[in-house]
Formats: sequence, C-alpha cells, structure tokens
Amino acid sequence: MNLSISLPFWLQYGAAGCFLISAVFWFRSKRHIIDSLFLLTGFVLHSWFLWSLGNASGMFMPNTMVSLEVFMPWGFSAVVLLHGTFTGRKRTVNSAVFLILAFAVAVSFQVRMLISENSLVYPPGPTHPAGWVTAFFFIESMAYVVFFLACWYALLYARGNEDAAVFHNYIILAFVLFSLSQVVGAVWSYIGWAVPFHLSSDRHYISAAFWLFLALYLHLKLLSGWTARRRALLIALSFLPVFYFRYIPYFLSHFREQPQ
Amino acid sequence: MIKGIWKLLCSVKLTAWILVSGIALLLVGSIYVPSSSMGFNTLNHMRMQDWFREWGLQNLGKTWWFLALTAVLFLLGINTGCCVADRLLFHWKRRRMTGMRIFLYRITPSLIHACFGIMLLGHFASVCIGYRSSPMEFVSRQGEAAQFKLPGGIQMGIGEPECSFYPEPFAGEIRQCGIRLKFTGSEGGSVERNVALGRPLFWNGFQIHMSRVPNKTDPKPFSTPVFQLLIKRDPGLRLILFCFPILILLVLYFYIEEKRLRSSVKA
Repeated sequence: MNLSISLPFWLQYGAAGCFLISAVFWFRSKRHIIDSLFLLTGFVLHSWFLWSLGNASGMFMPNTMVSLEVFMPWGFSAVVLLHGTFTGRKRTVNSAVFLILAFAVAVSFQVRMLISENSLVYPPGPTHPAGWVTAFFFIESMAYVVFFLACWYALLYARGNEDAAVFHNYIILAFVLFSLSQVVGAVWSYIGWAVPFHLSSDRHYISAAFWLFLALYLHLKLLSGWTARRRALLIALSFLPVFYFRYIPYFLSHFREQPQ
Repeated sequence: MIKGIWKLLCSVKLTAWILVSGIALLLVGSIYVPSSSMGFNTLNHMRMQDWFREWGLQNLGKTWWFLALTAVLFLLGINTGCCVADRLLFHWKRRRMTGMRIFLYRITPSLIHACFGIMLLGHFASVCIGYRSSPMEFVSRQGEAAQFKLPGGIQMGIGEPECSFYPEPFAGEIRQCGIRLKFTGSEGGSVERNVALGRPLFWNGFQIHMSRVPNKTDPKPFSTPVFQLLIKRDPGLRLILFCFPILILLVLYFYIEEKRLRSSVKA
C-alpha cells in the first residue's frame, strides 16, 4: 500500500519546544506556574498533532493516534498535568518534564523514519477492529507512561527527595492499567487469532515478563531488607531493560517487514 | 520436616525467586520465538502435549526454555496455592478479634492470589485440554462449498467466502469476509450460522474462528483469499477472562482500603 501522507510536523516540533522551555523554567523559577503553562501548551500542540495523525489517511483512525510511541509524550504530559493540579509537590511532579522532553525528541525522529518507510499508517482490517485496538493501545501505553514516570520519581527518591515517594503509587497504578490492558488484549487476540495469549509472538512474552516484574515489586515490600530506598533503586534501574525490550525490537521490526 | 516443606512452599522469598526465574525465561523466550516462529506458531492451535511430541522434543535446543517456563509456572501455581491456604487459615482464626472490615481487607491479597492461581490453571487448561482442529482441516475457497464432520457426529457445511472491500484511500483492502455455515445433527435437524473475520461463532460448545490461510505473497486488491476455520473447545478461556477483571478490582480495593485505614489510624 502506498499512501501519501502529509503531517503538520510544526505541531510536533512546537510541542517539543514547549517542553524544552518548560524544562528551562523548571530550573529557573521557584513558582511553577510558567513551566506548567508551557507544559500545557506542549500538551495542546501534541494533541493537535495526534489528531492530524488520526486523520492522516483521509479516514479517521483513532488507533493510529495511540498505537505508536508518538502517543507517549501526550500520555506523560496528561498524567503530569493532572497530578500537578491536585498536589502541593509541584516541583517534584513537574520535574518529569525532562523525561517528556527526551521522549518528545526521540519520537520526532521516529515518526520521520516510519513515514519514510511507509510504516506510519496501516490499513484497517477485520482482525484490527478500531475499538479493541484503540482501547488496548491506549490503556497499555498509559500503563507504560505511568511506569516510566514511576522510574523517574523512583530515581529522585533514591537520591533523597522524600516528595518522590509517590513512585510507589505510580507502580500500583501501572500494575492496574497494565493488567487491564492485558484483559482487553486477550479479548482482541481471541477474536482476531483464536488465542488469548499468542504463543508465537515475542511481544506477548515481553508483556508477561513486565507483568511479572510489577508483581515482583509488589512482593518485595514483604521481604526484609527491601527498604523503600532499595526498591526505588530497583525501579529506577529497570527503566532501561523495560524500555529496551518493549520498544527497540518492535521498532526495528518495522524496518524488517513491509506492512501488509 | 513436613512443616519445614510447607513453610518453604508458603514463603514470599520463594515467590520472589520464582518470579525472577519466570521473568528471565520469558525474556529468553522473546529472543528464541522470532527465530523459529513457524515452529511456535503451531503451538497456538495444538494442545501443548501434541506440540511437544511433534515439534518441541525434536527441537529441544529451541524449546528448552519453554519446558523450563512451564515448570516454573507450575511451581508458581503451587507456591500461590499454599500461600493462599496458609494466609486464609491464619486470618480466619483471628476474624472475631479483628472485625469484619479488617478481616476482608486482610484476606484480599489471598483472594487476589486465588484469582491469579485460577488464571494460571485456566492457561494450563487452555493449552492442554479440549479439542483443536488441525490447520487447513476446514478450508473455504471461492467457488467451492464443502462438507465436513465435527466431533459428535455433526455435519458442517461450509459455504463460499464473501468479502467486502474498503473504498479509497485503502481501495481493495478487505473490510470484512464471512462464511455461511450449516450444521446438521445426527438426528437430522439443521441450523445455519454466520462466521466472519474477527467475529468467531460460539455454537454448541464449539468456538469457530475464521482466518486467512497464510500466504507469502501479498493478496491482489479486491481479491477474495482462501480461508480456514479453526474449531476448538477451550475450557480454560472463561477462567482467564473471568478472573483477570476480578483480580484488578481486588487490587484496587486493597490499595484504596489500605490508604483509608492508614488515614483513619493517623486521625
């Protein structure tokens, strides 16, 4: 399938720029209104870009908005803005703008690479019903977003920031969201491929490993010696393997196989 | 001696080590599976013991981790079962001292683990028990109607596949395909049902799935491909899909209740 797509990339770069300015203001300002405002502006621009991506083929496909990593900066900023609204620990919560900026820059390159490989938009099909696909990727991506934020706050906590103890709640939320995504994914897999767990898909094994890792963390609290600080260090260190196994092989597979 | 074994089986330390082994084996599996995807693909539509007999044992170099993973998950099931029994008994004996609300809060982790144990059982049942049709056993092609026999002496008539296609910008891509099926029982009565891609048919204890026959070349636009029907009886599926949402709700209840109890203690 050859689909010519034109996207308003200035929105994506504009959003990344806003995240950068937000990060600068986070350093410079003691009150966190300005960095929150730039974070909000970045969120709005990125939302607009995702909307354009969903309509890129001329047919509205919500799954395209959530099934790629380009959704991650949206998820990050939504969670941080929401949390920031209800907490007095704005400095700690808003510090995640550095993580958001890193993801926003990385996915800007990734979108360019995928579009050059014609792998950005896949045709819809009966085994990829928009409802199930959108629900699954939205919940799963949000689970990873919450987990990566937990990694960030765990790093701060391990370095002595007591306000970042909130990382534990983030892990519980990640566990709940990821479990929910696996239920939705199992139903989609079952109606599409007749199996609730695809035993020939590496992605499913990685998901199961991640679920077990979250379960392992929840059990560590019951073991002597596993203080909050030590658990925080484990979560912070787990960022790299989780990121690698979830995204890198899957991303590289776009370049090995041409879309059907 | 028995007390020592029971204590070991109930220990959280053992759980942690089993989980670490499980994570390691799953990650190893995620590396092995893509390199022999054809061999593992057959596992999706065969019972595990049949798959081992036909492919797994001859390719132990590629499947050793799967054997180890099965053993580790089996051990995790035993560990979970023992923990649940031990904790439930412990809290049941103290329920009058603690009150109903605290009792329910304290047994929630055990209930979460019971759900997880049942889901593990469901997965084992799903891959080991029931009926699976073989790939290409029930095929549907354009211009051909066919008759097949199902277990229990049921005749199944398969009609031709009928497809609809997308307009621009995805012109020629399949929107949906369906097949009309006619079941005739041994006593002569018959019923007709439809099955479509992504819309399996649940009939008389059978789960009937329609899928495209894998083809190395890309299908031509607006062409109707060859389809196969995968027919199965999967007793584990309901256990998995029933217990997973309950597990999620229980986890939510547990942590919300924990926060509430902590704040009431502080007050």
